[in-house]
Amino acid sequence: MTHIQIVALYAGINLLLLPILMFRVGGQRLKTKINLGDGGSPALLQRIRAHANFTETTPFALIGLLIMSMLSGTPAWLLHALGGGFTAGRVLHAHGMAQENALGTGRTVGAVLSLLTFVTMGAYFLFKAFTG
Amino acid sequence: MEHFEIAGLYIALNCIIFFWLTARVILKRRKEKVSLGDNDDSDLRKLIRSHGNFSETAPMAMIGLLAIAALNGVALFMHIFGGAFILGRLLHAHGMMQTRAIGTGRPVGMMVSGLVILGQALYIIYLLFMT
Repeated sequence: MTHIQIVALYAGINLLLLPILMFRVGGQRLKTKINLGDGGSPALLQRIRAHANFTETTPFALIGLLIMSMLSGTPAWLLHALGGGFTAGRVLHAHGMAQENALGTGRTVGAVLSLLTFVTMGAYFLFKAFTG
Repeated sequence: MEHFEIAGLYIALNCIIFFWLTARVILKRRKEKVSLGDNDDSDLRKLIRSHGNFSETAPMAMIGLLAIAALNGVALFMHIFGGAFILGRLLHAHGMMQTRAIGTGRPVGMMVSGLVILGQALYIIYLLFMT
């Protein structure tokens, strides 16, 4: 796989996750007939936030992965580690959000994996920016 | 058009929609003097969520288009994905402004956006592993 193909792989998997999260909100809205906001329904709020958290993190991670693939000298394993770790984290987060009180272990683990991805990318970009 | 030019075209169109949806929220906030949240104003809430939903879908769809461009996908498919997505977002924005935010455009637009993103995902995986 070329670098850009690795980015496309993780973009593809994340693009598959997004409609699942979208349609879970839409389905619950139809069921509860709540058109705007969460209407005080915890189940709807859980789904809204599972979807929202995904959209608040994934574009950044994928843009980061894209930049990373363009920097010379980036090893393929690092793209896989960050892309794979982040993607696994999003699945765990979505699973954790669907548990009682939105407090599944997956949520915490997923959030930590997302943060680790961002911090690692940020540090790597700054390192590359100044060392060439 | 080159692949990245096609991606650029749809990114530009989405930027224009984004600008329009953002401007509507800002103008309404100034008019109603609500600087944070929606203050239980249902018109403001509709505008906020129109913009919010757009910003929750468009970046992923455009990253998908860039990935297809990088993988040398079929240009016609890029136009179909890009064009359908724009259409879906316009329908969604229109549906959100109807009574109780439930115009037909909203579910149809959401369905179109979701299917575009799903279609892009499957096409990317096809390009990666089956060609």
